[in-house]
This record gives sequence, structure tokens and C-alpha cells, in this order.
Amino acid sequence: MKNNTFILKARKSLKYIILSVVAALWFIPVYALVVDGLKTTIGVLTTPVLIPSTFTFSAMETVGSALFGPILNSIAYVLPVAIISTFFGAMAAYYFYKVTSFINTTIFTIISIATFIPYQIALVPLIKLTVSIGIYDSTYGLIFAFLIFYLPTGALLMSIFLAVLPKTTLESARVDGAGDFTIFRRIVIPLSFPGMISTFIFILIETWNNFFIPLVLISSANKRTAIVALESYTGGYGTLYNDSFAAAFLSSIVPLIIFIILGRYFIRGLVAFGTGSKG
Amino acid sequence: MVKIKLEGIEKIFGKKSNPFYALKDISFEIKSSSFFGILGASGAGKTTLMRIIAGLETPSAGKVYFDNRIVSADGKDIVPVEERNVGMVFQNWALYPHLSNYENIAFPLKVLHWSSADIRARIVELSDILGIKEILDKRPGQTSGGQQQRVALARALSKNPSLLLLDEPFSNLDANTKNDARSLVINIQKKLGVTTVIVSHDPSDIFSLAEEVAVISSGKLIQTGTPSDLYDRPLNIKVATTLGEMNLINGYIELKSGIMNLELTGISKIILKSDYGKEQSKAVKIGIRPEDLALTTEGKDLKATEEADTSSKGEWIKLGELKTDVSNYSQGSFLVSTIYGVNKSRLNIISREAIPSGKSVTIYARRDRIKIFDGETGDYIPILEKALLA
Amino acid sequence: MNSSILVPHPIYVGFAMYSIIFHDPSFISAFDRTIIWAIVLVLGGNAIGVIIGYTIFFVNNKKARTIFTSIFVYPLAISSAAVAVIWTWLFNIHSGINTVLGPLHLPTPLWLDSPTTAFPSLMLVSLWLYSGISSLFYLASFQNINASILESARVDSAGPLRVLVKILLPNAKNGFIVSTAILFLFAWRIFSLSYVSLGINPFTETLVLKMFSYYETSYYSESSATGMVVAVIAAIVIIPYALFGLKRWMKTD
Repeated sequence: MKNNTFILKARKSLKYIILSVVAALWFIPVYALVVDGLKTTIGVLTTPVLIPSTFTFSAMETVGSALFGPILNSIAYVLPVAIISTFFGAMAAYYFYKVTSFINTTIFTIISIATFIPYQIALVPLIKLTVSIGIYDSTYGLIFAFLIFYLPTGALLMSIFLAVLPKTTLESARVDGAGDFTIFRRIVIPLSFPGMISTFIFILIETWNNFFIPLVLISSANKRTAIVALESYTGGYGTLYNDSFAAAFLSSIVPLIIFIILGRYFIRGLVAFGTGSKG
Repeated sequence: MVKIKLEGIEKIFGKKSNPFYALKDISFEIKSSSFFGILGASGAGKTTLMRIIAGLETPSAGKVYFDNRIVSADGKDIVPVEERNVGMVFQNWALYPHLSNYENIAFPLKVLHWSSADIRARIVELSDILGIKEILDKRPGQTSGGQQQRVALARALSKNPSLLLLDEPFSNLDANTKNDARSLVINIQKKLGVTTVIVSHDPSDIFSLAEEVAVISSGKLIQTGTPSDLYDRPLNIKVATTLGEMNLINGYIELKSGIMNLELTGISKIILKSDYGKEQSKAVKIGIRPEDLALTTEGKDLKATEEADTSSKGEWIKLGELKTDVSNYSQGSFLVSTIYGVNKSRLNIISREAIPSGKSVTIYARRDRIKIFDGETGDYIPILEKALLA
Repeated sequence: MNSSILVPHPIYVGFAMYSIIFHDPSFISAFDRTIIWAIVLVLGGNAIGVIIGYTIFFVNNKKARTIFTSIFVYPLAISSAAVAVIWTWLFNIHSGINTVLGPLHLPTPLWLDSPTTAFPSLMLVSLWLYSGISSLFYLASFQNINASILESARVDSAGPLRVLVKILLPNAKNGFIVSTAILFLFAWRIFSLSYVSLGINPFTETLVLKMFSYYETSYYSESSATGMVVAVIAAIVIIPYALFGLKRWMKTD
């Protein structure tokens, strides 16, 4: 009997040990991100990446002033996209939820497929389109392009979150005489609010981190996003890596902060995105 | 206070190649300000029927009239649900979980653009009648099932609807709350005079509330009538069993020269005096409800025991002796189950005490409560029943 | 909206174009590499995902579970470009992780600096990136298993390995399907990770990069054709997956 409990306890702690070790490994890049972004020049030249050294904010400051513009640009592009995609996506999702028809199912299928196909394949047509409309290399052009790709994602995610709303509650509102807009405003939005937050955050992070679309659609340096600006910090030998890490850190700071504070919403969004259900 | 008329209502689900008729050729009328019941087993189609009346479903065929005005016809909703002025209490009450009880009741009034003062007055009035004043500020999730139901009722009634629909409103309540709820509903209906339709699978809902009932089975309308009509003169076995538990015994009736030979297959043959009717013989099903049977133990005579219902005029016929199987407890009495026949069929009797398994008991039946159905079609044969009583 | 942009262009790309790109050796190697990446990510990601999902599942403390889950999922919150920057330096043979591996007598490969190890290094990074989401899906699957089944196993004194193999995995079919489909699609669309680390590099080029390099060198038709190849193969994976997901979505209706 005693042997058994010992084995059970050993197994349990073994699981914890394995998990903690693997988790520590997973954590290394972020650790490096913070530690190395704060290194002094001497620290960079004398210590390897994984070993910490004296703290200084100088790298962060230098890089920060260079990235300040791009970070503001990112905010300006990404916020409207996330808001519009979530809100209009919710409206589309409500419509799908309410009306079950062949057309709706088809559109929904097309949207799901479009969300998962690599968006890069639309490269050439996308450029042609934005050039022909005259919005290439402009704020509107980038927002427009983002919406093309992320509005369907918003509709898809909100459909998943709406699916768990009890149908009788919405029917009750119809019996009470409420029209669609009233139902959407007074019942759907309040009841699906956590889902809206998940969708909003998911799209916010995905668009902020998107490298390809801004790379391709923005050519002027002053309109670049933070992530695209980051590319110039990859550098080869001889580059001081504290700049690179500081750049990586600062350009990721918005998604990272959101993840730390509202991480569970992002995770719910991920689960919904993959499994097609609330998990 | 609206009068409802249904003409040839049909509802089809599924593909054209494989249609499922949830409702077929349903026609009946609901009188203004009456309390109407729709009774049927689960899946019989009664909820679909109610949703069609509400306007939440469109009938595939047939017409629905509110006060001689067409609201649904030819597969289309002419008047959508939002405009039918209907109040509905859903089976799960469907209260808005994120709003307070007050706001729930106020919701339909806000939709109609009532002023806040009018809304408040109305809710005060309703909460007095329904006894929900203290919980108005709470959320539905913070109140009990019985309270939630009263809030749902208040919400349905707040806009003074011309039609009140109740979809299995008592199924989520415990026995005591059920009785309170039933008396509340019937009082309100009388007071307000609103046409009310209740849908239920529970016959006791129907008997305690409805003035007239429609019995639905497998999507078809079997019979309409008052509850006592249906109880005393069910059209067929389906109606009889929907209204409550009934024992069905296969048997044979032979009428000749002043005598009725009643054979209950597997139990006994009974010979009764009968001056009625011409000679005939027929395969039948004998229907008798557990509450219309009585049993005695140790071969005692019925009159000598407390089981005899001395107030009834009906004569008790001795059916035979059977062995008991199990006794189930149900609301103050016991349902004693006996086994008979080659197929081990069950005959259930209501008794005031539990009888241990394997005992021999003598079964008696009330002569005026025996229902005779055609052995093949299941149709009710009143003539033979008269013969039984003659 | 997406499709309407795609549709007009492929019409302009004649079938001849496909034979041209399939005769381009760099296209073929990019194609092969993308397939290899997909296979590695699917197999490795699923394996790591199962292990992580399994170990997290049995952590009793809810808070600890959340923290561990976050640790494995946070890589997805970071841009692939930033990930590339970080790992480029971690892979640096002078100041990167080799400085720790060496003293521990562990192998110290040349990582991104050698043509043979560059591609595997990138695949390794993608495993770090995406195993977490796989573990999420498995965890979700495990959590959907009826608790009484697991309790029943405990009453039957089943050991942890047996529970994993005989109970958790068979009931995690959903998690497996979702995890495989998503890992495949992520592998298929990887761009910034390679591009920011090593640019358009013949030793690490995948189909998406090939498409981009065609574009940059003004071979627009070749670029579109490559894009179509990417799209078609992705669609072959997605369509059954979307239909599968749609069925589940419709069921909850």
C-alpha cells in the first residue's frame, strides 16, 4: 500500500517536472527578448544571448524613437479593422444564425474556406486591385485589404460564439414585437459580449502581427507598420543584438500586453477558430 | 380576446424526396376568451402547432385566422409574429438573462414605445397580481423556477395581448409549485378574459385548466371536445391513452339472448346479464384505468374491505385472480402491477397499500368505467358499452 | 469577397504556365520543401501537442493550468517576424544557444548558417511556435470527455499511460482532426518566419516564398500559377475539414 502511494506521488511530480522543464524551454525566447533588449553595448559584446548582463534602457530608447512612427501606424490600421470586423462580423453572424438557407450555408462555407487558405496567394490580384482603385500605398488601401481578409474571420468567429445562444430567448424577443435591429442591439450583443471580445482581440493580434500584407501594399517608409519596420533590424554579423531584441520587443509590445491582460479571450478565440465550437 | 381558426394546417420537414409530416390536416376553432388545451405525447406535433399559431413557424399548407383575418396562408406568414400581439410563455421561460426581472417585463412595452411612467404603472399592477414585487430588481438567474415562471407570465401579459400561449409551462416545476401556478393561471385568465392556449403532454394540466381540448397524435388531430367528453367518450384508444394511463386487455365479446359473454384473454371469462342489442360477436380491446380497478387480498369480498368506493353508483365486477409483480408509489397511492396471460401482460391497479410481490389478489372493475374498443381499429364502440351496462 | 479577387486572375494564367513552373527546378525543390515542412509540423506538432495537452490536463490547480497553457500559446501572440529576429540570434553560432549546449556536451549544429541545417532549424522554430495550439485543441478534446469515464478508470486502477492510450486519445478524434488540419495549414502559409530570417534563400525556399520571389522578379504569371498551386492543395485539405466543422456547427443549431 505504501509503495503504491509513493509511486502515485512520484508519477504526479514527474508530470509536473516534465511540464515545468518543457515550459521553461518554451519560455526561453521571451526571456531572451526581455533580457537582451536591455543589455548595454558592452554586455552585447561580452556575453552570449542567454546570459543576462547589466541593465540599460538605451537600446530601447534608440529603437523606440525609430519605431515610434510605425507603432502609431500599426495602431491606426489595426484598430478600425478589428472594430469593423467584429461588429459587422457579428451582424453577419446574427443573420446566419437567424436564417438557415442554402445560400447562407454556402456563403458560410465559402467564408470558412477563405479564412483558412493562405492569404498570400491573393498577392498579385490584391496589388492589381489596390493600384487600380488608387489606394495602393495608402492607409485606406491597407485597411481595405485587411478587411477583405479579416472580416470573414470576424463573421466566422462570431457565428461560432452566437451558436450557443439559446434560440428561445431570441424567439421570445420576436414574440415581444422586437425587430431585428432591436434584438441585435439589446439581446445579441449583451449576451455574446465575451465572444465579441475574443473575436476583437483575435483579429487585433492577427492584423498587428501580419507581415506580408503591409509588406506588399505599403511602399512609403513613413506609412510602414511596426512589424514591417522590424525587418530592418535583422542584421548580420557585427550588428549589436540588443537593438534587434529591443526592436522585436517594442514592435510586439501591443500584442504582448493584450495577451498578458486578456489572454484567456485570445485563447478562446484560438479554440473557436480551430475547432469551430466554443470548445 | 381573439378568436382563432385553423384550416387544413400542414407542416412538412425534410427533403422533398423524403418528407416528414409533423402536422397533417389540422382544423379546429378556438373561441374568443376561452381556455383551450392542446394535448399530445412528446413529438406528437403540439409544440409545432403552437409555434405556427404564434407565427414562429410557417405552415407548409393551410390557413390561420385571427378574428376572421388571415395571418398565415399558402406557406407564407401574412402577419409576422412581431405584429400578432401574442404573449408567449416558453417551456424554459426564455427570460433575458442579462436584464433584471423588471426590465424583462418592460421589454415588450419599450418596443411599443410606452413612456417610463406607463411602464412602471403597468408593472406594478402586474406584479401585484402575480406576487413578484420583491424580485423585480433581481436577475432571472437569482430567482427560483416558480418565480421565473411568474415573471415570464408577466412579460407575456404586459402588453395586454389578445392571445396568450403557454408551452408546457409547468413541466419544470415541482409538484407543489405546479398547483399554485395552475390556480394562478386560471384566475388570471378569467380576470383578463384573454384567449389562452396551453400545450401539454400532462393530462392534469388539461383537466385543471382547459374548457376545450384538441388531442394530437403523430401530427394528426384525433378529437376535440371538453375534457369530460374526451374522458368519457374517447374516439379511440389513442385519445384514451393520451388522457391518462389505461390498461388495455385483449378480449372477445359475444352477445346473445340476454347474455353477454365477456372474455378477457388471459384473465377470465365473465358472463353478464344484458338485454341490449342484437346478436353479435367481436374481437375487442377492453380499456380500464388503474383508478377504476380495485383489489382485495386473501380472497376477501370487495364490499367488506375499505377498497369499496361506497359513494359510487357503479357496480363492481369481479374480473379474476392474478399474481402481483411490483408496487410503485405515486402521489399518495400505490400502483400495483399484476401479470397475466401468455405474453406476460400487465394489469395496473391503484391501491391504498403496497402489495408484496408474488401475492394472489382478486381484481374488481367498475362496470360503468369499462371502455370497449374495436380489437382491430381501436375505435371506441359505445354501443357495446351500453350493452355492458344494460 | 476573397474568391472574387482570386477568380479573375487565374483565368489569365494559361495551363502552359503550370508546365513552365513545374519544370523550374527551384519550384520543384520549393514544393518538396513545403510538403516536408507540412509533414514535420503535423507529426511533430501533434506529438508535442498530445504530450503537453496530456500533462496540463492532469494539473489540478486551475490557475496553474491557465498559466501553463499561456506559456505554450504565447508564441502565437508574437509576430512571426519578431520570432524570426529572436531565433536568428538564438541560433547565432557565436552568441546563441550553442554557448550553453557546448559546455553541456550537447550537439552544437550550425543552425541557420549551414545549407543543410538551415531548413531543419526553421522547422524547429515552427514546432516551438505551433505545438502550443495543437495542445490547446487536445486539451479541449480531453475536457469534453465525460468525467465519470475517467473516474471509472481510476476506480479500475488504470495507470497514466493506459489512461492516455486507451481513454484520452480514442476520445480525442476531434482534437486530432482539428490539430492536423490547422498544423498543415499553418505550415503551408509560413512566410515571414523564413523571409525575415534568411530572405529568399534557395535552401529554405517554400512555395509561398517562391511565389513571392517570382513576383519580385516580375514573373507575375509564374507567381499567380504558384499561388494557384498553393491554393488548390490548401483547399484539398480545408474543404473536408470545413465540411466536417460545418456539420458540427449545424448540429448545435
